[in-house]
Amino acid sequence: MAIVVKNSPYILGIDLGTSNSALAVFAGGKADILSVDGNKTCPSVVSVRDNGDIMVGRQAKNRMMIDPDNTVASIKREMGTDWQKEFKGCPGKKYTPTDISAEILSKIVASVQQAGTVDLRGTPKYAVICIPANFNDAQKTATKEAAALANLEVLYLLEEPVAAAIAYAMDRERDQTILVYDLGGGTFDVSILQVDSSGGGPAEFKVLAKAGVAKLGGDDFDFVIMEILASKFATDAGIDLMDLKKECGISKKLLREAQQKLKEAAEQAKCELTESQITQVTIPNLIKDDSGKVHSLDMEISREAFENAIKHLVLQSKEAIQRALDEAKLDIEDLSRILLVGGSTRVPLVKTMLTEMFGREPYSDTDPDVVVARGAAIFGAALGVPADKIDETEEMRPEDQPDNEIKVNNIVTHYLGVEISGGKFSCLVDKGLEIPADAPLEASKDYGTSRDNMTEMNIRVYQSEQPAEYVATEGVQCIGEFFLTGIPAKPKGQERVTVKFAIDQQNLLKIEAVSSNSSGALDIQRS
Amino acid sequence: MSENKNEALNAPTTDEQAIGEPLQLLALKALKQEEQEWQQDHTELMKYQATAQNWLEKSVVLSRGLQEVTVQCAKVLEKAEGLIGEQETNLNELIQGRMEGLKLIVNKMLVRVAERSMALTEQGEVSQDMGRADLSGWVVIIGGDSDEEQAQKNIASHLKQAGHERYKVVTLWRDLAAKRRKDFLGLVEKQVLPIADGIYDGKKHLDSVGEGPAIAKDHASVAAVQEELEGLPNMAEGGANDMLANVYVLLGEYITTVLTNVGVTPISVKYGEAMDYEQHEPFDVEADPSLEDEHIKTVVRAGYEYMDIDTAKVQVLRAAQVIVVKN
Repeated sequence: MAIVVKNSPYILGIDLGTSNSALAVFAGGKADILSVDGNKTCPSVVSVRDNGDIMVGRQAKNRMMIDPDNTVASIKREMGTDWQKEFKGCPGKKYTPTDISAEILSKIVASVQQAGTVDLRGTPKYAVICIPANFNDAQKTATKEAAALANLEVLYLLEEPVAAAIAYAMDRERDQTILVYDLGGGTFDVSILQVDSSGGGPAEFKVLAKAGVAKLGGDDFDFVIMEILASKFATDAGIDLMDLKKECGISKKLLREAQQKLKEAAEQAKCELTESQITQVTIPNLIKDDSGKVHSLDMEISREAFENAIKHLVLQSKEAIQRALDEAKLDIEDLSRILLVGGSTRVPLVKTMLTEMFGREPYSDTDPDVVVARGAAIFGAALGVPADKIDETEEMRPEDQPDNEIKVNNIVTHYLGVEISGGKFSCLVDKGLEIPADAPLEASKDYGTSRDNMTEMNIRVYQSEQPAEYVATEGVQCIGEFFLTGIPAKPKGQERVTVKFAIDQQNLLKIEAVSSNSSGALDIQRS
Repeated sequence: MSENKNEALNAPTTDEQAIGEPLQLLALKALKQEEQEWQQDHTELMKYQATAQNWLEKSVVLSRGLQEVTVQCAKVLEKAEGLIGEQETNLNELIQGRMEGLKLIVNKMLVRVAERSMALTEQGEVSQDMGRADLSGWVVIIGGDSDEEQAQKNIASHLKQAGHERYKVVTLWRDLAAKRRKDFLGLVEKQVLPIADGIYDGKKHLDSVGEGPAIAKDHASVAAVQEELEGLPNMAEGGANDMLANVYVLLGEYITTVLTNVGVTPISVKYGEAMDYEQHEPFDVEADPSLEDEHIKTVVRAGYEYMDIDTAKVQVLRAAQVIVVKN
């Protein structure tokens, strides 16, 4: 007799990140990160070998240098685009960003199952996946499809800053405006959220504004320390380790080896300077020059010197905060608190700057780089397994359920509309409108037929981040189309076609077009 | 809520005869259920306590090893310095550079890591208290006057609360085990392995002496070195340079022993071996028609693995950096 394994009652909280991904579940009253191959995060990298074997995570990242043509990193940036790739090891199959993301999701889920750190009590099935606050429909749909390919059902696509706010704000009971300061390895994002945890009802979250700096992160801080170390070394030893092109009589291989050691020492020094005012960087026998002399590096770096050197970088994030505040029409005094996300927020200058700006210390977690996955796990546990799937699922233990309910109040993320004659963009739903919790947000417009005896109409649906007049304007994107047939043949303009948009909390956009004699419809899963 | 619970737990044992039969049955059922849940949590607690203890013991062995090796290496360095000083008043610049690397390893890096390792050996205090109610306690929790529905609610509520409390203790130990593991592995990877790397590089620069101008020999009397530096293996003719090479060999052996004693061992990498992307990390690619693609040509930096107490499996601590063939 076959044993039927039920689904796990745990809802996986997944941070499907550009560089790294993480997975958490809510168990025993708290959200726990489940390690992937012994690490709390897994590189979001996929590599396909010539024999068709697919590698994901650290192994794939290691293969990047050897076979960059068959290795993919940062696929999140391509979600929702027509990016495609045929790997040498899988001829004939074109991989989409959805396929690549599905491989990453499959890997992290399989790995945590195998590790068994937390007994998932069944096959993992349901997930809350985090997405950036500015993800458009195509990106959201691609993310959801990736999960489906990995045998996961997405209960909710949760915006990353909201996930962070949930991880921090779960138990606080008051109306708040929160700024989420997310400084990762390579990018900086700032989001302003409205949170209402007051009253007896569920806590509500709403993203008011978002800004960022595309290239700003911990890697820049490491590079600054490398430069400090290299400058001292150049003075002492007369060798410029940062310049591989300059002829100094030392082989490039030796210079690169030394540079790599410098980089690792810089990362370590950065970590030590979060705890101490001073750190000692010692690299014995770093390099041998053309005369045979061996040079070592031994240098003290103070936190003050480090902070002076990175001040201009941290100030870039301050400017982005101001842009986000302006967009939300708020002053810094209007903020209730600032939350820190991302490993690079451990750098003390970040906290110092925010404390000076805000007048109070920002909130930080001991593990700021996995706070998003933890928030997703808490949210997932609050959602629970869908009522109609309870029978297929193992029973949820009381200690694995959070005490509070949470609700995310979505706003429309793009201008949504259709193409009309002359290639114009006719907007039906404005960006920024709030989607009510209990009913879809609806809008409709009537259009006349553009030709005599027009019996069918091609309805193309578009979205845009900025207001636009024409669909050909840069940034306007077609997200679906359908034909309305059976329109009664009448002179131009005499038959009216009503186009109705309805978008719900889960961002499902339903479009309906009705003529006096026919109707047609299209559903676009916007999340 | 918690006040009520304390009251219940501290209440004097109620005479079983005095308890109404349905109430007694309910109390017994609740007692058994809690016992069952307590056992599960207790098993988990024991597992984490054992792991936390294991990592602590490893840290103690590591710390002791580092203290001892620091003293041993300081003696070796002192003797080496003495010998070179006796033999050569006007030290060759090249030898100075090599001595500087050695001094940094012994006087700075080793001293620092030995000091830092002490923090890992602190026991700390973590609660082990996982209480549960006895029969009389359950009678009080259920409440004498309540109807069955209310009694069931009281039981469910207390079981949930008690489960939370127990899980907090389990979590504390789990987190402690995870912290000790992280601290131990972090210290080895970030503080001890760079010492091993420095020793390896120092030796490598001496081995490849032929690449640069020859180092003047006879800076130190071979016989004197052999006599003075007990335990230096294979002392060969060649003066200060060879003596330093042997000092590095000795230091390398000391550090390897410290690491081996805590289950950390070098990853064996063979020339021409196929890449294992878990154990090997490409540093660079080079063409070599005599080898197949994705096979290893050279090791740039040694890799290390360790026995993971949590999974009872050998895990990679740091992948070996290698130059890989790509034709």
